[in-house]
Formats: sequence, C-alpha cells, structure tokens
Amino acid sequence: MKYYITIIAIVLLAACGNQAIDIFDAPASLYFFRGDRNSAGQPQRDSINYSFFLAGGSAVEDTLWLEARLTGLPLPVARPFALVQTNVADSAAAVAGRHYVSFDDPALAAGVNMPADATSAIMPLIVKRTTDMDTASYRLVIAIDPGEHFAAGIINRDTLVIHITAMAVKPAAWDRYYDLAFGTWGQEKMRFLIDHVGYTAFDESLLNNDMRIFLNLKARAKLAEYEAVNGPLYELDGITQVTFP
Amino acid sequence: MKQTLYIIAALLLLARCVEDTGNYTYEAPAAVSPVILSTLAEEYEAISLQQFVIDPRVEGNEDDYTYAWYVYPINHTAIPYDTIGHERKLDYRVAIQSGTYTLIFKVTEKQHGTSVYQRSRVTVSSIFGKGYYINKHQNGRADVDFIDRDGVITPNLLKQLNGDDLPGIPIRSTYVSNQYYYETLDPDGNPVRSLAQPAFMICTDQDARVYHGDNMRLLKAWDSLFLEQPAVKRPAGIWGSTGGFMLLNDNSPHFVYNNGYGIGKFGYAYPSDGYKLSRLVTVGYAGYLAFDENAGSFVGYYPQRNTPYTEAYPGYLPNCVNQELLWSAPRHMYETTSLNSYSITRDRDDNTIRVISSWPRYIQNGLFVFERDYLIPPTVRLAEGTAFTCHGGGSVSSIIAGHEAIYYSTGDNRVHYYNLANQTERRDAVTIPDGESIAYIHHAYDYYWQVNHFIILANKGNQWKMYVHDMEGSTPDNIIGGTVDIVSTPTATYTGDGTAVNLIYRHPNTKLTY
Repeated sequence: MKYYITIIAIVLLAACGNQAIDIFDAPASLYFFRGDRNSAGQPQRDSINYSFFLAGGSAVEDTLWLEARLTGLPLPVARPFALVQTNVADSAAAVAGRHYVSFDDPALAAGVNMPADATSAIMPLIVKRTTDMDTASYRLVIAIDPGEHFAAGIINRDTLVIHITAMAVKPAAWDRYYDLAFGTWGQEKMRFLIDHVGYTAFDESLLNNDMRIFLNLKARAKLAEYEAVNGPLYELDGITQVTFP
Repeated sequence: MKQTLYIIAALLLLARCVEDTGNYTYEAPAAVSPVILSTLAEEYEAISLQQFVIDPRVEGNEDDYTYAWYVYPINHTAIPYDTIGHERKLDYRVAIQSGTYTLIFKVTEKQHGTSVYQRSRVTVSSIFGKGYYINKHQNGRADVDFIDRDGVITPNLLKQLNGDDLPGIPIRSTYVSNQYYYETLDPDGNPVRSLAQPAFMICTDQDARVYHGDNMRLLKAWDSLFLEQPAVKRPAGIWGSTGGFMLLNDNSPHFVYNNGYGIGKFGYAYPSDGYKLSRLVTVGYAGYLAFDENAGSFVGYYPQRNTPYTEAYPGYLPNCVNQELLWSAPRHMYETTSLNSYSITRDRDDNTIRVISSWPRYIQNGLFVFERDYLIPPTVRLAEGTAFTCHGGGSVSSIIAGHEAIYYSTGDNRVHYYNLANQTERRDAVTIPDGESIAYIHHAYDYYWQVNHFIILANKGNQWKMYVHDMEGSTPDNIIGGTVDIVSTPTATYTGDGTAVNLIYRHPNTKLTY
C-alpha cells in the first residue's frame, strides 16, 4: 500500500512543476503583402501593372504605395531596411532615375523602414513617364534588402514585379468583373471607356449588378453615338472592331 | 512497473462499480413542464410605434417561469430576428420593421429548465401600412390623399410629412415592401446603407420620387434618383416588381435591380431602339411587358438583360403588330404574385378588339409568352373604355370557374364587364351618382390574405369620390369565394379635394402593388 501512495504522491508532485513554454524568438523578417488592396488602398498582387494610360495625358510622374509586412515581433523603435532592383541587367528593365525615382534617393530611402510598434511598412515608389512608354513597357523587379535588423523573408514573397508603361494594360480584375460589362479586353476599347464613358476605376470589384448593367448600357450608348459620327472603332490591328456585349 | 500500472487501472475500473448514492428524483417531462392555459391566435396585426399586447395565461405561479417572445421574419432573410418581450404579458411598443413574422411565446420552468412554446404569426405595418393611396392633383401640384384602416382621410400626405408635393399630374405610384436597398449620407457625409426597406414610389408627368414605405418620408428626389442624371427629364411611369423597379423616362426604361448590392438608384437608360414606348406597362415577377407604339408590338424587359425581348416564345401566340394598346395590367393573385396579364388592343387596320393574355413573369426566364387571345364582339364597347381593371385570380382553376372578367368604364358613372370565360357582357354592373365621372377602377384581390373588393374612383368638379364595393357571393368566412359581380351598394364612400387619377390599395401583407 505504501508503494501505491508513493506513486500517487509522485504523480501529484509532477503536476506542481513549472512548465516551460516556448517563446517565439525567431528573427524578424519582411515580405511583400499580396492581395486586392494593401493598407494604402493600392492593389498589390504578385505583380503590379501600372500605366500612365489611366493617369491622363499630362501626368509625367505618379506614386505607387507598396506594402511590406513583418514576421516576428514589433519593436518600439523604427528599423530601416532598403529596396533594391534585381533585374538591372535585363533588356526591358526599368532604369532607376529614368523610369522611377531611385531607391537610394535620400528623400525616399529615409522613409523605408518598419515603424516602431508596427507590423507593416508603406513605401512610395515614384514612377516616371517617358515618351517611349506609349509603345513600350518596362519591368522593375524589387527585392527587400533586410539590412542588419531583419533576416531573409518568405521565399517567393520577397520580390515584387512592377510593369511601368503608358500603354493600356489589361486590369487584373478585368476577367473577374469587367468582361461581363464590356466583353473582351482591348487597348482601344479601354481608351474608349476612359475617354467616352468616363470610367477609370478598373481596380474596383464591380460586384454591384446595377453598376455593371449601368456601365454596359452607357458604353453601348456612347459607342453608338461615336459610330454615328466616326464609323466603327477598331483595335490597333485594324481588324478587331470594338463592341460591347 | 507493469504490475503497478495494472493495479492502478484495476482501481480505476473498480471505482465505476461503486453505487451512486446521489439524491435523484425522476419525474415525467409533462409533470415538470409549464402549461400555457390560453392559446395564441393564429394571426395578429401590430402597428408600428403602437403597443402590441398579448396576455396569455399559464398554470400555477407565474413567478416560477421565465418568458420569451421571439419574432423572426417569414421568407425574408434580410430582416433580423428579434426578441420583443421577457414577461408573461407581452406589452411591446412595436419597433421592428414592417413585415410578416413568426411569433413564438416560450415559457421555461425555472427549477427544471423545461420549456413549452406556442407559435403564431404577426404582421407588422405602420399607420401607413393599410389603406388607399389616392394619386390626385390640384393647381398643377400632385400629392396623395391617404385613407387609413379606420377610414380617416389624410389629405396631401406627402406635403404634410415632407413639406413638399410634386409638380405635375400623377401618372402612377407603386409600393413594394422589403425590396428597396438604398444609400443615404450621415451628418459627416459618409454613406449609410439600408437594406430591404419598404418603398413607395410616385411618378408624375414632371417628377418622380421615392418615399420610405413605413413613415412616408422622402428618400430620393429626382436629383438623387439616378446613378447618372438623364439629360432629359420626361418621366412617364414607375413600376415595382419582385426584382426591383422600373422608371420610364424620355422614352427609355431605367431599372433598379434588387440583388443586395444596389444603392437604390436607377441605372442608365436602355436604348430606345426606335421604339415609342407606351405609358402602359404590365409586370410579372421581375419581367416588364412594355409596348412600342411605332410598331404596335410588345417589348419585354428584364433588368439583367441589356436588350429587350420582341420575339414570342415558339409554341405560343406571336407578338402582335400594328396594334393600338388600350390597356394593359397584371391580374393579381396574391401578395407577391400576379397571375397572367391582360392587354386590350385595337387593330389599326380593321379596328378589331382583342384581349391578349400574356405571362410577363416568364420574361426573366427568357420566355416572351403570349398565352391566348380573345376576339371581342363589336357590340361590346370595350374600345370606348377609359378605365379598366380585371378580376383577380386565385389560381389557374379559378379561370375555369369564370373569374376572368375585364371591367371597364367609358368615363361616365357606370361600370360594365366582359366575362372572357363565357364571352358575355354585363352592362351597368355598378352605377354611381349622376354627374360623377369614373377615373379609375380597381379590383383589390389577394387569394392568400383574403382580400376581395371593388374600388371606383371618380371625379366631380374639383373633388374626387371613392366607392368601395363587396363582390357578390363573398362572405366573411369565404371572402374570395364571390362571383365576378359587384354588390351595387358600396360599403364605404370617401371624398376629398382635387382631381383623382388613380390609386393603390395597400394591405399589411401586401408585398407588391404592381
């Protein structure tokens, strides 16, 4: 019997011991946000297609807001890091200073940091228009240089691709929402929508059926007005006529 | 060690065999359940902002129980469930949205936790939820004279409540419960969405506005009525359907479609396509059957399709051509549903008169169905009619029973009808006093909620008069069981200032007046 009491006593005593809980102590790292809208309201999927086409004819410079997020613990101090271009040697690579304001521009570099007590950082990318962008697109691959405060980030989320052009670019949401209102995407169709229908918010979800039908009817009405004066409208191939479903 | 473990396991198993000496008493559920001595009525009517009282009786000491009164909407998921009372006696100042709810009274015995409940149904409406809305005009201004459930007339309702009436002469109005999704701005200018609200819409020849169906406060005037303001303001009619609303303006339809994302604004004008659209439109479900006066043909619209239908569905009658449309309206069946629609046409070449039965409800399914037509004998003066209505229909079988009558008046003081079921006419079915000119007639009918009366709206001088008649054979126990004949003596008569054009009748259970 004493034997059993000893066993029970040991079991009960074991319950009184301190349990060591693992504390997260992995090094902090950074990765690019990916989703329909980042904290600044900017669509930021695996790549961003930016076109001065939507910004109007006189715009020569525009600002995109990029978001990096933190893995690890926030700290009560700001921690700087850097953005770097990794495709400088590519043939259609964007050129720092020419197609965008260089990341080492002092005014920009100072703002690239993870703010104190924050888990995400918003950074400006200033894109610049050049005359050849009307027929050309430039690719900018951005990576995070973690510096001394961060470790390497999540694989496949540590770079972000930006396409910069002044040509019409098919909006990422087109096939999800806009083909129902406007049909197959085309550059001249998009120009018509901007110039004659007055619609530029191609990043909107367009879940509202009323709005979708509204845009479709308006586009058809405006195209009919246009064709009555100018005849049919064609895409740049001269073959594909612009129509709306 | 293994032996030690066996011993511990054996001790644990043995513990299961120890007799439970707990002090339990087993009782039959019925013996410890509360007993509700009274029975809830099958249905109740409650009026917004007034007390709704039910005083049920329970057996024993009522302090031994807890109570709950629940309401949950019937057939409408956008209206929230609610608990409206925690006492035995329900004494609730009605604050839930208009609609029809299942009402649950639950009694729980405190000691044992056993419950019983009774189920009923309550229809909530505002003080504007039952009555007649008479669209009238006076000195170039349009307004509504409202006759409430007690027969009290509130003249110029829109101006009284909102400080403003509408310019012009009324064309028509429509009411739809729990179908209007709209957006307003809060004091900071932020949009606030309201879901599934009741709406009253009215259109004159100069304006159109939307009012909240519960309090009749203005929600949208012309300048906030569209996603994009039309260049020309020439309204010609407004209609409700189970799928939204249609506004005819400057010869083009605009739609609000209820898919839950809308903000209560009418969309872009549909292309006129060379049509000259009549003001006569009939509705079935979410389909709208309009008429092109140029071709003399029908045109069907469904708000989710951006082009109209003109080709009839194979196997049925073809779309007509070269006709003049004299009248077109749905045949009411019950709260949300019209059965078929009737249209009266006159051939432009030979003047033959036809009544065409169609099914606009199928337009939303892509079917443009003209079911049958009736050639009207020349002796029947249907073509001279200036006011029409048709008898409501409870079901397809009621067509066989002979409830397929078109009532008409030629603008004098008499109502006649032509019975399509047996091709006979009855002249002077009802006569109102000499000197009064009938402007509008309406058969208010609801198979489900037992509504069945005939309304005559007339004018004399600068006053309107309204007569409410029962139908022959209709009894309190079987209200819809009457014939197509109208009892000659009215059950109620009302009068007011101005010239009446038409009206809608709203019942607490009405979901759509068409």
